[in-house]
Amino acid sequence: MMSRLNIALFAMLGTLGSGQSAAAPVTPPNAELPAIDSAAPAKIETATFALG
Amino acid sequence: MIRTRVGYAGGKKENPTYHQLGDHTETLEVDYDPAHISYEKLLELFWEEHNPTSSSWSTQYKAAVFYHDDEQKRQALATRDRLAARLGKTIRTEVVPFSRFYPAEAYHQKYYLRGNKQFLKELQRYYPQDEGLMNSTAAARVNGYLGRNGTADSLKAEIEGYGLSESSRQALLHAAGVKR
Repeated sequence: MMSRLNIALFAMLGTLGSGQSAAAPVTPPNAELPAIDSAAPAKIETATFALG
Repeated sequence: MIRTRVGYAGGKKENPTYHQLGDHTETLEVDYDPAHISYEKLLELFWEEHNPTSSSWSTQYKAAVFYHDDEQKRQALATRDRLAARLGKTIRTEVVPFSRFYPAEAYHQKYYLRGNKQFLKELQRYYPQDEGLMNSTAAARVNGYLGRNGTADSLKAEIEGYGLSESSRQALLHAAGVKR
């Protein structure tokens, strides 16, 4: 089992930056992917941590 | 935040697994858009969310920043040193170069989401393969809100984009503590 701290931060990070778009994309019925997964960010960077 | 994954990093053993971890450490990897979230903000959360002055008692569970470039290294060391000065204590959390990340087994990914069959089943309609679910922003968001993170306003602002049914949207708002 992953450590409790990792699970907690992992979940917290998942919501960071949410709701920042003025007009959030809406997933139409029967879409192939959720609208938020279809949006292409201009730039992607990666960060890696271990919490102990 | 674009996507979040848990896995293993920092060691030399190739293709580690949870039960054959070798010299790796349990690790979080996050992809983010720097226009929305800064690396410094991520570091701030990282330092807040663990005790950096305690020694690691195993490689599996040690605390570390794995920097990906010189700028990440500079910021990690600067924030570490500021924290050490503020606390007046030695920081035991390591700041080391990133080499390779191995995603953990599917059952470790999206812990809260996997504990809720209703949401999991709906998102698996889009992502029948585990890798797709692991890399989905919608899955990361739902997992995070089920863990009672984030704010009501941010959830309400974008929940329509998660691809959930109306009943699941209402259930997620309720689970996240949002009053109608």
